[in-house]
Amino acid sequence: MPTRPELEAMLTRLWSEKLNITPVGVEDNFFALGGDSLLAADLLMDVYEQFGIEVDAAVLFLKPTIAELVDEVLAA
Amino acid sequence: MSSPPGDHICPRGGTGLADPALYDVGDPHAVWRALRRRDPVGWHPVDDRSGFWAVTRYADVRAVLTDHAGFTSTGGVMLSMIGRPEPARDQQFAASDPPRHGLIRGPLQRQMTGRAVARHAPAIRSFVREMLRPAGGDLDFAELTSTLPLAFLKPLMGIRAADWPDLARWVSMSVAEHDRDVMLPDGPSATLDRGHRELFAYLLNLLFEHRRQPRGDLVDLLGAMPLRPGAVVANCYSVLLGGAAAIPHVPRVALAELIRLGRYEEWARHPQRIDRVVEEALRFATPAGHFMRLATRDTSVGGVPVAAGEPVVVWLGSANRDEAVFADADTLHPDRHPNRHLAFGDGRHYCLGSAMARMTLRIFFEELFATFSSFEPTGEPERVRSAWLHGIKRMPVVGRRR
Repeated sequence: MPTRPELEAMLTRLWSEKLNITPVGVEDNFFALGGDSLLAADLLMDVYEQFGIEVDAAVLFLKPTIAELVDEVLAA
Repeated sequence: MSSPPGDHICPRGGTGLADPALYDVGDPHAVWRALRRRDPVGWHPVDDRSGFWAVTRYADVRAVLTDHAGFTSTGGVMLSMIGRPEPARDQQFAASDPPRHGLIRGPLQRQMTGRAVARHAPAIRSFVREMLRPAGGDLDFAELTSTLPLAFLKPLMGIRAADWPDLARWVSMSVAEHDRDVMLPDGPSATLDRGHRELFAYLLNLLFEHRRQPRGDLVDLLGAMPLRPGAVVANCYSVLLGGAAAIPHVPRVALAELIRLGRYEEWARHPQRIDRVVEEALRFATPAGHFMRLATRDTSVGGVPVAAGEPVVVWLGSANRDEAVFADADTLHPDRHPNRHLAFGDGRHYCLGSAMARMTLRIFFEELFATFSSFEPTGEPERVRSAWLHGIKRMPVVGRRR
């Protein structure tokens, strides 16, 4: 299982790719950075495929930061 | 009710047809009638920066809905999308034009023909019987009919009854964001965003579940298409919203009118005319009130010039009361025939679920007529505050069982 800093680095890279933005901070809001619902769904499917973890989609859609997402992945 | 219907064309301070208050405290039919006569293709401002062409006559509405090259769906199809980018453009069947539209919709369509949906009839009938079984005496007919969409969303998408109260609220937030029952303290726009994201999150979780355990339903079908995950969810969203939002309003609006006219018993006695009853209830209620398109080039609608890029909004509820097509258009006639109403739209975007909706409504009216001998009102029906969803959210009645 990756550590928190590793997860943060991986998710930051994933968000940057999806949103075409650098840098991305762990407290940045996905939707405020220009993300939309379709991209959010793509991103969670990527997380599932890369880490084998089904994150409850409500986390990204309603608390859309990397910090929250990492909490969720570590708890899973 | 802040004012009685009929004493004004549009509520004071409102913005005409885009004003959601017109549909709960105003009289949209009076406004549409006046527009059909005097300004059938007219410009309506939404705010200082934007506006839309409002199309209210039957013939013009059909012309716009069937001209897919001249009027695109890719800029969003509801007024609430004016000035917002449509992230699902070209990826969701509702927000695509031919030929792309057909690639996504075709496989779904084959599961939604009259023949394909008929296999669900027995399950829908038992669902409806169960819905009506405990009802009688003082009741809210809107509450009674609120689970009707589950009758087919269970088999089509694998949606669980326990999830319905949340789902129904999120659907309302997504189509009636100004309605006090669902509006968040942060206002209509925040309500729309929240409802939309809750539904997206729910549907993505539903997609995960289907990947673990396929059910052979529409979610599996979409999941197997060559679409990115976001597009799969966006199409599930279209199916869910199309199925969940509008259908319960058809029996509510029709029954409210039958009660008002004192004609419920007469209608209930003639179950052999049930197909015509369903079509007339659909025409009279027309719960999906409008659809938006964007002109792709300089063109004209009903002889009025429209510039490329301008939003054109067709009002289905108005087209379905057009006196040029429907004699005695404001009257509910159980035997109306022919009845080529536009409650399901027209052209390639004609409602994907129309066969399912018709079958469900037929079963619902059959069971209603067989179960209840009469209804009496115990209060005024309360309408929904929304420029898109036109219908009734509370309807206190006394129902007498046979």
